[in-house]
Amino acid sequence: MEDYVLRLEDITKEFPGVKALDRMQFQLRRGSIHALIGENGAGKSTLMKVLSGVYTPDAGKIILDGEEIKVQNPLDAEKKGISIVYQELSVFHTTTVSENIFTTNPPRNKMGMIDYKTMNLEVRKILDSYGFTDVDEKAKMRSLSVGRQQIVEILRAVQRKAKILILDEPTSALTEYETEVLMKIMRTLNQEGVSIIYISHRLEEIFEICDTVTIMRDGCYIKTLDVEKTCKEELVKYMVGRDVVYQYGAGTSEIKGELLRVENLCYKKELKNVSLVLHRGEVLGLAGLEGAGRTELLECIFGVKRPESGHIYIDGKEVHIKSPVAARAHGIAYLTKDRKNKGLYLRMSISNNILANNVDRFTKKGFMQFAAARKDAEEYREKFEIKTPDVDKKVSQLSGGNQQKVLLSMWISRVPQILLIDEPTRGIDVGTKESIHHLIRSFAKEGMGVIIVSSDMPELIGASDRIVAMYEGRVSGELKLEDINEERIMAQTSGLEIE
Amino acid sequence: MSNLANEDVRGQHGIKGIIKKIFQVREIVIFLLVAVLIIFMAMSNAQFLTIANARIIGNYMATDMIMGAFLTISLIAGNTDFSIGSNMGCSAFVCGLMLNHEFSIPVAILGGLVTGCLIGLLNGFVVNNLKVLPMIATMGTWMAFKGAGLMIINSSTLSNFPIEFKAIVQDGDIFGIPILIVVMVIVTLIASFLLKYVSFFHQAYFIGSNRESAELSGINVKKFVYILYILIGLFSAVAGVLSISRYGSAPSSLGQGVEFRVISALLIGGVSLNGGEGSITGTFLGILLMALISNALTLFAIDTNLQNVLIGSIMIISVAIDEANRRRQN
Repeated sequence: MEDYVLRLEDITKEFPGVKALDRMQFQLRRGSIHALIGENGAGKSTLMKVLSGVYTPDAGKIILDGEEIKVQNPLDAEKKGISIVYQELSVFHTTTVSENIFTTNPPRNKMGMIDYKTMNLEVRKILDSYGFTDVDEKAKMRSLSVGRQQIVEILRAVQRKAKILILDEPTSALTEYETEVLMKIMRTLNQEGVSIIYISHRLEEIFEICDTVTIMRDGCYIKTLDVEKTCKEELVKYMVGRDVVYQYGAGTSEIKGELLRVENLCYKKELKNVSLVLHRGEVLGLAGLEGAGRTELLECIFGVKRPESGHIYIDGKEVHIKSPVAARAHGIAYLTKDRKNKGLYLRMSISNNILANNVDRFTKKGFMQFAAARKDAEEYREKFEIKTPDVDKKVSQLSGGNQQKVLLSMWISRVPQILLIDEPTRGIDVGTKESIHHLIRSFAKEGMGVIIVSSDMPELIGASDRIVAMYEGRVSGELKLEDINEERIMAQTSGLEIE
Repeated sequence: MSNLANEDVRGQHGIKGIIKKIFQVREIVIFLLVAVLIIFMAMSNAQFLTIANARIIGNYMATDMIMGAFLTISLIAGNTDFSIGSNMGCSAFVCGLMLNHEFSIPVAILGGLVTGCLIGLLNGFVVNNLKVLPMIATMGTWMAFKGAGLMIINSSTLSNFPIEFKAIVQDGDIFGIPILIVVMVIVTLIASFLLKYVSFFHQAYFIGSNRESAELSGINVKKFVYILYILIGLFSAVAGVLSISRYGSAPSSLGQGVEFRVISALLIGGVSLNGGEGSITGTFLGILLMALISNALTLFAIDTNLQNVLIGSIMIISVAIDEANRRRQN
């Protein structure tokens, strides 16, 4: 008799330039709560999207109840009994809680009309049975807190009576109480015979609720373990287990006095008493998981977000940065991780991109100095080795790596003293990656202070003189150059080792 | 937390709380505005509360409402349609030309309605398959069919329709209620029922609220877009055909400017251009308000151009109230 409700065999999925899944294996025992873990970008979400019919795999088999199936689209997955709660909230804000729970299968009367009375009663029952007596089933979704919306979304999957329920990092938006309720929901469902795939970064949760755990890395299957017979350290080891080492010049520049000091910065729930120091000539790496508050910290320093409390000092003097314009005036540069939407002007030429960020410098008596900007652009094209026939080429026509170099030029031409870079090489090939890091290091050598946020661990290790780890809005650890190693960073960023 | 609970937390009780609540439901605000206007008119003008005047108001509203009903559903899903006015004209011209070329009345009417559906189908194709934004797509077809309509009638007025055709609207009534008003009421009730109780149409709220999630939960958005554009096209043609039957002629200006009037009425009635919100009741009240304002100005012999000034202002104020509500909720 088949013991597995679901088996995935040799699932392969390629996107242009990336092998997101490489002959991935996964076996889900009937009635099991099975954790799927791995670093950012290991391919967990891609795998689940293959299972729910959003992506079609290039190769491999999906075997449900011993029969090979093809999942055509999300509705087809639902019909086959596979329900998924996505990482990103996918609720309908303008409709009621009831309608969000019964989106595609509302109760109907004999005439085929939507039966609101039954629907509301059913939803009331579901809400009450999980202790959400304070949620009004007729309230508009947008009046609920994000955590409650997440719960409603999970209840949507519950209502559909799925055979297999996939939860993709459901707890990132939940409060402690809501997380507890989620655990309760999972246990109840499990007793009713639902098999669950649970994706989470929080290892403690896995030990609390799961019986089996599968680790994946770089799109590949690594290992499946019994939760009872393993420990956090072992899981971390398998998640990291990489032997590629990059040398981006960590420790090769002279580190001088203090340049930037952040003290007890607080911003909503995203930053809690964050303090750190950046020195001249230093490349500081910020490690952490998605949502740990790294981007928010950079945004607070650059004046995009206004911290609720805390102090920022530059060269020992307190500064009040109220907007990006003010940050720029203090010599801060910020390169966002979303360079296409929030950094570059894709449809404009390279030289005009540089001009756009330096209008003040290239204006004389109210007139734009196009020629001067163009000269500047030419200079950076040579210095940064931007691969393009000329600087009049539209930025959208460049490769990701060269786009990033244009973004760097836009800011470096202002000669900043503090450079903040979020995900400097996301989606960029290995060769260009290296040349970007050499540029960053050369800035540090000139006396600039650089903060890098990266989810790519080897990159962070290869580039940083010092690493500060964040976990859930807090600074959870700091490692000096000689203490930096992947396992310790991993431990600190998943909240296992808190100083 | 529920809406109610939210308000308890803020301690809004008594009259202030009630007023705040009223301002959160657009239909109630517009209903109150309509009621005030009716009471005021009834007290100050003897002609207002007569059956003849009710007919005038009803007939004034009818074609707008017939077009506005399904446009509401489409707009809730986030897809606007500016081509309704041109479609109304073009379909009516096809019907009129067929009548003048001695096609039988049912065939000519069918010709008009099929024209409307085809224009709707084209809108659906441009939006779904060519991925042109609905606003731009339908502005394109609005312009194109305005021109095409005028070309097929040589910019003249079509007339000399068969008496039996003119009689449909001019003489037709059910229990004394003019046929135009009867059609309006039926279309309104059907659209309202479909939107609320039939899953396919109710999907409009999900698509408008979050299109990507709607697709992920398995809603066939393309099919929805096609069908709604075809229905809007069909009812634009219905409005066009009924209009030329009523007037007994098809002036070259038929349908021009209707699209902006109807869409303003929708916005006044609470349909959000961002999608996800709105109701047929709101649309009906919006169109009724416009008809009442026009009627009042006529009865008082005030420059009817003032109507546009008032409607424009009401539209801005009501959308601003909505935005204020939204900001408070977030």
